[in-house]
Amino acid sequence: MRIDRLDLFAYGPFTDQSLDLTNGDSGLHLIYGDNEAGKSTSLRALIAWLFGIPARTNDSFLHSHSQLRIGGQLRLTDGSTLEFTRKKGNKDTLLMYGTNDPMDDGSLIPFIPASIDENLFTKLWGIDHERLIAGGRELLEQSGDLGQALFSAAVGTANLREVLTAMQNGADEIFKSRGSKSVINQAIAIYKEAQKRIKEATLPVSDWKKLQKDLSDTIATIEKIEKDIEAKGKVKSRLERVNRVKGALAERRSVLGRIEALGQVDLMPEDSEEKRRTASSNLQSASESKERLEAKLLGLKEESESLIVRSDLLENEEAILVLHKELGAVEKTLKDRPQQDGKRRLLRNEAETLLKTVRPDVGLDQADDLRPLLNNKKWISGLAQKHSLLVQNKEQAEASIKDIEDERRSLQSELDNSSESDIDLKELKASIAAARKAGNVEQRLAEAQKQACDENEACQNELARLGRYTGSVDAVLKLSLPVSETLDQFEKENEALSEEYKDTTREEQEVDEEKRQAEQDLKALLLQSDVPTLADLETSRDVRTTGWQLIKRKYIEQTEVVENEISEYVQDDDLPSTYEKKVESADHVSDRLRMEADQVVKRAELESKIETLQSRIDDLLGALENIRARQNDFQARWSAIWEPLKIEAGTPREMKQWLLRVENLIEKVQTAKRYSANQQSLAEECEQLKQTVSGQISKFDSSTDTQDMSLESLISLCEQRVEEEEAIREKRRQNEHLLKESEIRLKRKKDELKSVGVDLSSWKQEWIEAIEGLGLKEDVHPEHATETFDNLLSFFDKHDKSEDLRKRIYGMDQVKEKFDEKVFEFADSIGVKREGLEASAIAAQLNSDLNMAREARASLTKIESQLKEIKQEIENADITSRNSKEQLAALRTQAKVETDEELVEAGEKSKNKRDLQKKLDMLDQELNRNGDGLSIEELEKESEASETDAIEGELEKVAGELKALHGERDKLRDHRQTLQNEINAKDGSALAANASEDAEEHLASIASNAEQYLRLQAAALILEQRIENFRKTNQAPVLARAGELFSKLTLGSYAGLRDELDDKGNPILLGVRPNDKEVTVDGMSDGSRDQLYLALRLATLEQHLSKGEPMPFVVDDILIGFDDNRTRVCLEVLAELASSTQVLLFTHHRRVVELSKPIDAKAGIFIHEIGSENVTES
Amino acid sequence: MFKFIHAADIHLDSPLRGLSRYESAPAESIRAACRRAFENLVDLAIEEEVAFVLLAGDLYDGDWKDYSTGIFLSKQMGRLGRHDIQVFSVSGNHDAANRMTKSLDSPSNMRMFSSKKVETVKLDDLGVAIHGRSFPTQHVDENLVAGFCTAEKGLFNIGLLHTSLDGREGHANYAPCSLDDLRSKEYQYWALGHIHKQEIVEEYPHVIFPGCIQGRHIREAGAKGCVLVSVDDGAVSDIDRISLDVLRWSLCDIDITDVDEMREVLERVRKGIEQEKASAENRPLAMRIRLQGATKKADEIAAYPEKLDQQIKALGAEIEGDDLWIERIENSTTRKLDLESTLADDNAMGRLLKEILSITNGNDDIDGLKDKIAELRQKAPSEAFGDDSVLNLDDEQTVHRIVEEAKHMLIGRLLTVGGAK
Repeated sequence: MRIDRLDLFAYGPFTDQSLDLTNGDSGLHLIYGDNEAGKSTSLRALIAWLFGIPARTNDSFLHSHSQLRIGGQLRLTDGSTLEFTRKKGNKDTLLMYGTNDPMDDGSLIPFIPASIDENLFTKLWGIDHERLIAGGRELLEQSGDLGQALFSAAVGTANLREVLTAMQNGADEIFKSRGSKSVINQAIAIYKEAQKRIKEATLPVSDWKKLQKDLSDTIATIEKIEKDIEAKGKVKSRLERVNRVKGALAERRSVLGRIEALGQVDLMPEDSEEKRRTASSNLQSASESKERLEAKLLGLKEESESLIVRSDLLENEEAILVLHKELGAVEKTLKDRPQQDGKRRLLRNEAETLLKTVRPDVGLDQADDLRPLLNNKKWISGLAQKHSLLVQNKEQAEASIKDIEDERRSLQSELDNSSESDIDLKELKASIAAARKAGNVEQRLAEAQKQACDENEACQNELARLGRYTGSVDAVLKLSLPVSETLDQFEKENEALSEEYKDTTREEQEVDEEKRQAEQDLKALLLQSDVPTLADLETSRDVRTTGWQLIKRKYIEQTEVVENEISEYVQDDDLPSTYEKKVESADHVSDRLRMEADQVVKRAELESKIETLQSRIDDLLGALENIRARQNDFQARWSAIWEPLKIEAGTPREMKQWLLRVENLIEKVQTAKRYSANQQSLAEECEQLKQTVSGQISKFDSSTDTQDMSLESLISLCEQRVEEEEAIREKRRQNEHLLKESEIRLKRKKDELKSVGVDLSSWKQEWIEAIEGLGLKEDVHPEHATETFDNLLSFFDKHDKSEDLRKRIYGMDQVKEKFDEKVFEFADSIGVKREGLEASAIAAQLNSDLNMAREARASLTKIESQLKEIKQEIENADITSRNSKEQLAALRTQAKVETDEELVEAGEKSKNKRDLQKKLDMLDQELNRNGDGLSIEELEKESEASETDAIEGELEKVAGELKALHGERDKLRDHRQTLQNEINAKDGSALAANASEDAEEHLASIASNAEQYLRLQAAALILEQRIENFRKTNQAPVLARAGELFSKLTLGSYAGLRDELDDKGNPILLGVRPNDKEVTVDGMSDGSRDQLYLALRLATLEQHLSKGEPMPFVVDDILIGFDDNRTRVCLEVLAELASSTQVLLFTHHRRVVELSKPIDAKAGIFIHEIGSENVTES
Repeated sequence: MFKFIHAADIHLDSPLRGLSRYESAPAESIRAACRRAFENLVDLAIEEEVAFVLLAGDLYDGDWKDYSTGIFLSKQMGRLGRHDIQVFSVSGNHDAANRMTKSLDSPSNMRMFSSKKVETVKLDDLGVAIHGRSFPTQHVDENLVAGFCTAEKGLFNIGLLHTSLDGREGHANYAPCSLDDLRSKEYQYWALGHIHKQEIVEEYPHVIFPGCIQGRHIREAGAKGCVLVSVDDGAVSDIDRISLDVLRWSLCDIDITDVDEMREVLERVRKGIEQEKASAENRPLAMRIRLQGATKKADEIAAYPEKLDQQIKALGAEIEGDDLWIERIENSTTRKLDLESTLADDNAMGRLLKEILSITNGNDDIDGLKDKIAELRQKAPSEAFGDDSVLNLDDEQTVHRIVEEAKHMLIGRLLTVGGAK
């Protein structure tokens, strides 16, 4: 299979491009493209065309996924072809060429076997730089293992070893027979550990049974011991009881004896003794307290008599308190008076001083006459303020007038200095606008010049290429060319003539052929057997007849026969036998004519046919002659047409083409002319504008030389000028305006100044009025006047304050006088002697005397209430004493005694008996409590039955026994608990079951990993065996061919290849130097190893190519690392391969293309540039 | 009217098989699955207030020796006892082989039928007669039905027996008998055990295998549980199949015909998992995924099965987290192009592939493979390669399969490695 053509309808950057690969039987096709030209894309497109566009592609940036289309044509060695298009998609991606109709996938199979997918194709029929390098590296890594080297090269998989080691390593990771870290090994360890756990956690049935039995045994023993404990406990408790009650029993007996000894005693009420004692004690204490109270009563009476109470003061208590209160206020006033008086004097002096500063002519006493002046306060301050405002306004107005006048002077001078130019700006601007409006004439002119120039040049070129015509371009326009109809007619005639000539020639040849055939047949017929003709018979008969005549004449007629005649007739014989022979011969001819009639007829037919044909040939030759004559005539006429044009005419068809090209040229020439004309008019227009503009410029600037300036710069110059001029005019206008404005302002300010003057004089009038009476001159400064006024104010302030104080002091003196009067009056009214005392002293004495009287009165009241209380208490004591006596009498009656002493004795006896009775009750209670429910009688009986002294010993013995039993029982109970705990602990736990689950999980893991392990091992083993097999079968032929290629590719650095066994007996690959020195693969340079891989690849490929339908070999830039020489030989080798199959070499190195040019390859080298249609052959 | 539960083949504390642990595997959520399924059974009985529970044999595995299991069973029986629910049980082939059966302290509410003769228990208040017989030994070849008495007139008669009936695939043939044998006794209900797949063999009279209550390996896929039988007026009025399992096994075939992208393969797997999950009644799943169909990806899948394995497990963890255990990924895909046609082409690769395919699958045909297998067997526990294992090395077919897979792995790697740019 080979690729005839690859159509990149829409793929990557390509749109409707085509790569024509038809050249050569197969050939080496160099497909060159720069990095950006899409070399790689076209390679991808090729693969995609053959095998489908990948689902995810980066080649859809220009054309959308659905638009992607690649097409082309494939050809088999038997010549059959297939044209198809590929689109992107999941199915039905194969389309009938040039349509959108799907094509059966099967139609591709004769060209690309279904078995070959993209992967396999690139693997077997493709090589790129990457795989080349990988192949070289691989060779190094396998240390020249011959089997792997050959095999890798054959299957095109550079990393075959990687496949193998990956599987071996994978297997090792899973399992190693000696090791512990691999997956399975670890799983085995964990599995065993889990098994151990199952065993440990498992509760065997027998253990369970044993535990249960142990438990029930223990429970039985505990029960037995508990019974023993119970029995012993009974004994112990009896002994304890006897021991416990024996003391109480004895005491009881003694109490009973004592009761009996007391005999008959009357029991008095239990509280009678208490009552007796209380009554006697009450009696005694009552009499004692009565005595004490009476003494106290006497004392109090004495005290009350000693107290004196002044009722005269107490009666006037209120008046005295009022006086005392007033005394406080008077004393305070008297203390304050001197201070106030001092203050008053100070103020009066200050006022006097102030008055002297204002009106020294006025005395302090007449000062009140000045008081009306105070009303002028507001007025004067207002006038003072107004005065300063008016003065300020006046100053401001004067300053403003000065400023404005300065400003006016400066503006005026500026105006005087600026001069106005007389340029007519309107006209200038209009010229510029006109020039601008014309557009960029200069640029257009330049473009037009270039276009015209280009067009002219194109015409010249066209003319030069046109041929046949030697005149100038312009002359072409004037050529009177024949019209195409004429040429058509001539062509038609010429063709008719040629056709006729051709037909006649062919017919002549055919007839000639036919004739030759007939002659051939005839010749063959004659060769086969000499077929007689009728003429032969005639001749034979004639000879016979001649002989017969001779014989007749000689022997029958006996006429003389000329000897000469006979001898002429007879050949080496005598006449009769000659005649005989002739007769036979004639008969023979006759016989043959009869017998071989068919051949005879055929011969005759052939001869006649040849004759006819010859005559036909003659006719045709004549006709040919005629045609030639007509052609000559035609040629003469044809030449005549072109004669005047001095053109050497070709065939009419050529001339028709030529004419078309001439017409084309004419059209171009006309275009060129149009461009020239355009250029001309533009140049004129430009010049015109230039003149206009420079005219304008000369108006304002005659110094500039406008001659050599471009229009653009002229316009700019003008525009600049306009701008400047406009700025100047604007400035002037502004100044004039400002001047006008300042004049108005000046006038306004002068008016203001005038009105301020008026205001000031009216103010003066008022001022004089206002300050009258202040003792000031008229022209006093307002500030001084204000100050004087302030002094006056201050004077009145101080003067008024001193008057106030004087009034207050007077008031104080009045209060003291009144108070003295009141005191003396009061003292006289109650008859208190004054003895020359001050009123205040009298008031104070009265107050203290009153206080003493009030105290004495209070003491007396208190003593009176105490006396009343004591009297009451004495009465109470008497009552108590009486009651006690009555109680004692009642008690004596109850005890049936006479005296109090007897009463005491009887009480003691009764108490004694009662105590004994109580003791007996207590003992009975104790016995009941400690007697474990037995009655006192039963206890007495039990006590009697026991030997008292032995009890303690017996009790000790029983207690010891009991303790032992308890200890045993507790131990058994502990054991029972332990057993129960153990049973509980094993109560249906799932420990063993869980461990078993763990074990099972690891078992599953071992199995599943072992599966993968065995798969990997088996696969690795298979591959190893295959490699070895391949080596055995393919080694010799491939190695020999690879050796040749290697030598060539390394430029003779190596002479060939050899296989040897290494130390371990494995076959390895060696390079052989021209001097027969052997080089191991790891001893070679990287480059040589790459070459070695390539040599092996190509050798195996060649071997395969000899076996069936070839496939194109696709090489992607493997020459990247090669120097020029190696690139050249590599190209040679590929070119050599190209005679067996099509080789497509994709490269983006122009050097490769250059290097390929000198190579002379039988199959041919064809260079295609991506993006162009150029194909050259070398 | 009353209800009763019929269950069998509990196989308490028998571990789940074939689940090799991996990082995201939900090991905890499937712990003690058989016990929890059995607890579900007891819960159901209490909730439904059934009159009694029938257990038709194989409470434990024959070789299980941990009495803890027995204790667990007793406790569960105790729970039923507290709700006055009786349990009637016979031993099957597994029970008979286990010493525990004889040593078990039967709780008072549990009645284990004799192995020497058929016994009958009458429940007068319900009008029920239960006839049953235990297996005396593991291998019982005789027809035990012959020894059953005919039905008691006027009562609801139940026959309780562990039997393979007339034979069921995948189950040893024990106590064989025919359906006619059973019919001839004129019982209303035959509560059978031994077959792990639920099967209502016949109705009126009802002959039922309830199946096991918890699947323990991939061959026991699907819902597992018991039947809840309602009896009204001396006749079966309703049969409810109740799922009790706590882990659902499922075998999921995923067709990836014409799928050309690994992403799409995983997408289909995801859909498969989601579908299975939807029908698993909210239980954790143990899944076997089998990829089928002709695809361009077959080479890649065969070349690196472990890669797909990891991807699918990660996917499983992502979709279902703690609720999914990928038991195994099986690759049954085929190349999209017939390999034979590839081989028709006479080039080195073609020849190599042809040679690889022409190798027969016996382990004798690959030098050194026998040694590798021997090494492995020597080191690893024999249980790993036994009858129950996915890698039964005693079976010649297993080796054939492995070699076949190895060949495809090799072809896959040769075609994808290096060429896979």
